[in-house]
Amino acid sequence: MSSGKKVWSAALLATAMLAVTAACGSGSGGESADGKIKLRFSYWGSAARQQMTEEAIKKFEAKNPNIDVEGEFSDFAAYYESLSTKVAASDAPDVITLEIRGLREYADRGTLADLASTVNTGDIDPKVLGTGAIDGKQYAIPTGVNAFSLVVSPTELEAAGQKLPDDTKWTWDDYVNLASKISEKSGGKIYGTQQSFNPAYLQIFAAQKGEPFYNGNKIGVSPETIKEWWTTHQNLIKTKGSPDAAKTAEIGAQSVDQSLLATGTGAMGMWWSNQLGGIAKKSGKDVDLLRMPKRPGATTGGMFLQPAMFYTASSKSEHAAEAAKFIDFMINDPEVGGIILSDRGLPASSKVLAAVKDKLPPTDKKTLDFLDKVKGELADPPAAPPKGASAMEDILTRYSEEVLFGKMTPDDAAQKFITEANASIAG
Amino acid sequence: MATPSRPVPVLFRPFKGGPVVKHILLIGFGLVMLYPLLWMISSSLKPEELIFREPGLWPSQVTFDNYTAGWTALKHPFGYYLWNSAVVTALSVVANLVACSLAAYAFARLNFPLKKLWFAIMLGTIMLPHHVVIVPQYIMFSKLDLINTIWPLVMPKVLATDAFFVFLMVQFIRTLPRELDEAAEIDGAGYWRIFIRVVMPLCLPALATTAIFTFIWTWNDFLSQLLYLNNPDNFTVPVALRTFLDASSDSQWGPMFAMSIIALGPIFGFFLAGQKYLIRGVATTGLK
Repeated sequence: MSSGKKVWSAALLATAMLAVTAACGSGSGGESADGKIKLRFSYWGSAARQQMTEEAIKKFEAKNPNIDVEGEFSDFAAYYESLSTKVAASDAPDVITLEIRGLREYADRGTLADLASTVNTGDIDPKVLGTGAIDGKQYAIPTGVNAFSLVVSPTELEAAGQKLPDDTKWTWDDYVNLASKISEKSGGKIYGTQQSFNPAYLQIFAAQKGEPFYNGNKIGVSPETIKEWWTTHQNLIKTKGSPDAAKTAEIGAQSVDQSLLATGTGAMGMWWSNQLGGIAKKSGKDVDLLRMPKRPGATTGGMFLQPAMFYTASSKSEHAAEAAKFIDFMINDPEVGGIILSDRGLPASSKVLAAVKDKLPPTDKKTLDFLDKVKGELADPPAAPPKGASAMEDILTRYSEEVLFGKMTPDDAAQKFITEANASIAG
Repeated sequence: MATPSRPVPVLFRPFKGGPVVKHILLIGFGLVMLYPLLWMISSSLKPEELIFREPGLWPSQVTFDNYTAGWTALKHPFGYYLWNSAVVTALSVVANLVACSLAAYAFARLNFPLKKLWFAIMLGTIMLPHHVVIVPQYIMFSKLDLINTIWPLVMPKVLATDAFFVFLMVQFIRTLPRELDEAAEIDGAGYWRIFIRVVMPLCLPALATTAIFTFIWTWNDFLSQLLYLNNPDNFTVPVALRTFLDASSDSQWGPMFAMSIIALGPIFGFFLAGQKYLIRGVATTGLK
């Protein structure tokens, strides 16, 4: 038996295989094979966004022939999963796209670099820019802004014999009445509105009472305000202005494409202003933005601009200067603005916005006009929320549904919500 | 039927229309189980804006736009991603067949020091959740500079890390009579020859089971492909499909459904081709 020899030959074969596979790796970190500097840029989105971004990257590479930008992209649901793995493995991309809820988490871990002196932010509204600053360091540059507002379909209102409300004066009660009238007049075919449990909605509602959503590392909204907020939801169900609790829970879990308004079974809803285009396309109807209703006697409408996303740079990048240069280009170059348009929110840089204004599709023009109109009444953009804020929407939705299903009293739910939310952001 | 000596309760009497009713019930149940798939097929044939507006099973308008639009919607034609997936899957299947059968043969038939311990460690790796291994594995491949290549997906399989399949084959080889090996040994065959000429041909059901499951799992695998293939030029089907949807902007549901149907094709075909081995494999190994 020459078994010993056989085993050795097998072992040799395996080693040879390994050697071959290892030799197939690409050139090592930061330098691509042709001696160019390699920048890795991670972002999330749809295929359409990927094509625009590739185009913008080509423009950057044409102007900086010594840099080779490699886009790393996935859809939003999977984005943080792969990003956190890369960061944990200290293999973070050089330029990282983040959204406001994840910002503090990454900044606190020391993942991000201060961009204050390396990126030109002169054309960005300082208040909006401030949302990307944590403890006085400009870790993140906003790409563009959105506002959480009320989306309405004038055609559906007309069909139900209702007039567009005067949104400078309307109250939450007016909103509930309008919704129930639409449901009633359409004979149950169309719902007046659909419920929203988005924390941004509660934030606007609380601001009308002068309460901030976050107070440092604590929830700044009082239990009374949360209960009051739920009253509007309960009244909508009572007056049939919205679907009942069960259907509300069902559509709440779906994307905006499956919302009542987008599927032609609702007249109103609350979303971020950049979703207007998608809703218009899916519903095939005319849609418009309205100011959020107010409490009687409120001094502020509470609406605010929120950055759609941020560009940040890795603090461990070997090419910090090039990373900053790339971010600067993506934010300030009018040509890039002309490619990306409103895909990352309406451009934060006023110069870029002025340059691309006429190229925007009609729904974006509407959004722009609306934002111009409400500019004077907006609250300051909120600072980056505490760590753990990403879970806020889930927590709020859960307790809201408990209340609407009548499983918890509003008193009880408000207390429990605050306790759980505080625990989630304490870290 | 002989008349039974004692009257049988009505419930237990053989039912005359049995086969027909049974089949009708089974087909009905099958259709219920297939409903999501049928819905996806029907949605892929609807104009995009009607998918959620008319969620019923019968499309009021039929169009093939989703297929043509979906094929070309991404950076490359969709065939490109199918090819990427096919390469990863084919390499994984071959690697698993070769490596796992060798490892299994060694555990089942050869004697070497600490065999029991190695076998226990190998089985222990089955208990490790995938997520525990992700970060260390990623660091390792990142240090080897293999990110954005298909090697992180294939190399573990070359090294027989799919302990489940090793175990399956070990159990299978253990059921083969040792006399066959001994007979071959008397005829002068070495370990290699016994392995190739005696053991492997008899292991066909286990090999087929391994091939089919490796194919299905690799073809459907999402997380590791998402992690290691960052560049859209390397995307496989599962990762490419996800790029049709985005929670924060516009989602293309129709093309996504259409391409999902196309992506199901190879699995379905492979399963049909290997089905008879699979049944045999399940029957003989007791694994499903």
